[in-house]
Amino acid sequence: MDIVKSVQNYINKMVNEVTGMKVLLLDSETTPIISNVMTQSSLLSHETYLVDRIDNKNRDRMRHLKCICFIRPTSETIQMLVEELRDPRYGDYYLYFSNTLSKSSIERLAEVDEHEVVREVQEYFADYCAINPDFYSLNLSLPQYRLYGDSQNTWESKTFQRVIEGVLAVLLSLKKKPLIRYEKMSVMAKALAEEVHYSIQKEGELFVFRPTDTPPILLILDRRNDPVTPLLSQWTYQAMVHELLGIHNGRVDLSDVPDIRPELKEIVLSRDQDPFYKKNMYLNLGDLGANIKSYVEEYQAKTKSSINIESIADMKRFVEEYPEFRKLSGNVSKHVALVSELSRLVEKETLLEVSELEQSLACYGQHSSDLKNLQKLIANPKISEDSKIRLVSLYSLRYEKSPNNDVISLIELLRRNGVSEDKISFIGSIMEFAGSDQRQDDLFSNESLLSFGKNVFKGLKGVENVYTQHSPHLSQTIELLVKGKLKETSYPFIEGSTKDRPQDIIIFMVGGVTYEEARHIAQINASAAGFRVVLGGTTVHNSVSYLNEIQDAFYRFPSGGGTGARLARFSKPRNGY
Amino acid sequence: MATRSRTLLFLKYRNTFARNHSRPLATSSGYDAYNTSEQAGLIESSDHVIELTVLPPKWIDIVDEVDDDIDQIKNLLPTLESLHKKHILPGFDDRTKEEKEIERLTDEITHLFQQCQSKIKRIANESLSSIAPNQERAMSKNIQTSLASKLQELSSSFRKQQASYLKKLKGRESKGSKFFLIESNDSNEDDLELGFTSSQLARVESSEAVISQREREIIEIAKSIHTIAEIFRELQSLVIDQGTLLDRIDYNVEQMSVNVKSAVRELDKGAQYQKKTRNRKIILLLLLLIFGLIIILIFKPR
Repeated sequence: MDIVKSVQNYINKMVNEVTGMKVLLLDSETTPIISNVMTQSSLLSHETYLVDRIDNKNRDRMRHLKCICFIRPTSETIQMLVEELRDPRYGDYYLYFSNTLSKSSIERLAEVDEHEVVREVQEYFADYCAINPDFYSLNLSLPQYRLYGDSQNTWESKTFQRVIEGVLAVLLSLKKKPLIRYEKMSVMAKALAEEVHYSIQKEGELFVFRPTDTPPILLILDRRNDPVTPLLSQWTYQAMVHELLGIHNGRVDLSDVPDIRPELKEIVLSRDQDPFYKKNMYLNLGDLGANIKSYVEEYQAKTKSSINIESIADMKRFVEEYPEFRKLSGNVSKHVALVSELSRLVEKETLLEVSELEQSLACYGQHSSDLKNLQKLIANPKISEDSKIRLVSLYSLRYEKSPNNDVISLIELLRRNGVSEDKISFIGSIMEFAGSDQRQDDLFSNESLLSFGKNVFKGLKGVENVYTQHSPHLSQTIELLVKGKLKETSYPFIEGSTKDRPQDIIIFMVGGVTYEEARHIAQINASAAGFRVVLGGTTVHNSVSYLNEIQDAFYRFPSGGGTGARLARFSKPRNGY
Repeated sequence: MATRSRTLLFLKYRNTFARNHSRPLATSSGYDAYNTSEQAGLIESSDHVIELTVLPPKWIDIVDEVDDDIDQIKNLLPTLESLHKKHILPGFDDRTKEEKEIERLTDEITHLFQQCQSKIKRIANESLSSIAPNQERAMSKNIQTSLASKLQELSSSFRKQQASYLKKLKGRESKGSKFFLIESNDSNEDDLELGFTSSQLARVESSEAVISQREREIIEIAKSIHTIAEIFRELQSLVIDQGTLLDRIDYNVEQMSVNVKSAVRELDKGAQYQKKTRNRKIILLLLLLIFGLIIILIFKPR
């Protein structure tokens, strides 16, 4: 169940099967898929000397090359392929598609292949971006892909198709034919579950795998059941970089960082090639700081030894260690730059204070002190508008049902502190979108006496770190699932049912996942509890992209009634406000 | 890792289409003429365009040569290693033949490395000098990188092998000299006043010869390490560092389109310049004409 490996295997198989010098043609979606798991040098070592996009019209004619096309079958890419085959630029063509190819497309390609250059037509199901071995994303982000159709309960049809294919590809590449469970409250999760089930039936011949003792589970969840996790500040390395700077396909843009060296304007974070990152990606900033210190010291020791070259032996040793040394020096400066930028941002936006309140809102909920702190932070000019909006959103999610909540005066306070109307409207959107009426589980554990007691008990145990005490709702769900206690009434099966403890769990989250959840999954898998989990979603969110997605959806919904109507909810007291 | 092959279905469809269209192959383009050249007449009567691009660029041959050389090095390395091991073991036989063999192999490998390096350089020169299309140049650069990394890997393993052999040789030498030292001490005590006996003298001489030979060997090896290190350094500039942006596939693809775009821009600029020069030429011509007419005007009235 290592999805990075399975994508790598697909690609290695492709470049190994075709011998000799070759060119690799990709499209706009397969390029990130391949870039996330392979490097240019690994392609070069397989005699793949040229990589290009199929939509690049200015490719030269090179008949002496073989061509591997790795393409996501869509009507546009098939059209491009048709044009390519009509006037082939390369000698032989080996076509690999990242998903199932319809018969009509095959027919169309066969019709135009008058030069008989096509040697192979294959379906290799590497149709998702594998980020960590247990974490994938379909990279469906705005503006290319919209998630919601014309209400918060309908899919955009183009996105829906892509999601179905993506989930199927995950299942096929892991060779799993699962039982499907979904979140009952979510219309979109149900639609997806049914469609995936239907497709598995339709492509029955593909899903013939060796039967396992316990059937794997595909669990389809909805982000709206847990709107809190993407709103929190993050303190572990991978999650923090994404929250503050943004990781896009393993690349981080540092060009806005003051006094950055030109070669560090854009950096790469890859588990495979960067042992330091692999070791520290799930550690919090404090431990990371200590590790980076020892890393720098190791580097210093090496520099020193390389400086005093006195004898031939020294020189010999230096030359031997030189590549290692160069690699180390590049890596050290990369991580030092990154971590110093992170701590600069933390300092600048007083994120420690913000995060403390966030955690208190998410985990405990002591209304009077929370409110006081919140008012204090809103008045603080150093804290960014986005943080303030996040805090008030968390507050209103938390105390939505509490009779003495004070959202209206907080919004007034935001206005007085010069936060734009546009941003304030988000608070209304998220309440509409993921308020307690939209959620099916007791997210804050405050709805029943039993869970309330559990909460108090948790508070008594004490916490290791104030800033990372929140654990996403997802980990609770997984815990219940592996114990066989996840209620069928709220997480029904599409077909069949089992009471066994599942061994392989594949989770897909409609509406995006977060790196915080990825970290929890990695911990669960590392604890080797006899089951394995793979998590993925439509995209990987940080707070900014999450806010944008919801906002974009709400501006388009005709039923939403515009910003004013949503805000009206806060201006006049209504059921308990 | 499920996969599904659609090749058979594709071929089936293709064959039906081919029959329907009564094989349009033979008349379609120059490429097919190339394919079916056996059936074609010797003298092309039609206006076929002979496609030169079917032929790979010249430097591809060099690439093959380098590949062969690399294979050869790969074969020689284990042989050398086993010889090294055999030579390190203590023994009483005459070793000169073995030593010669080791020396020869080391020389050969070093030579091959040098040869590869110069060939890679030649690829660079050839692809730059020819008026190659943009993409071909990109490809030759990629090929150089790939060859360089292959060579780099090999040379580093070769150097490590040499270094460990050297260390062992040195270790044996120092052990040996210790042994000789003790022995001479013993004899000194016994024959303090008698001076060296002839047999002792002979022994010292022979051990000196052995030592000097060792010395020579060590210098030889150190030299080969040095040469390889030089090659290593030169190649390093070609190799992509792991984990950098340069090693990203998407980055390279983006660069490619950026390059193409800038090339197009430059072409446009070139066209503009050309237009300008054409204008200038016309102006110059007109000026010359006017000048000529003036001269005619000056001379005519007389």
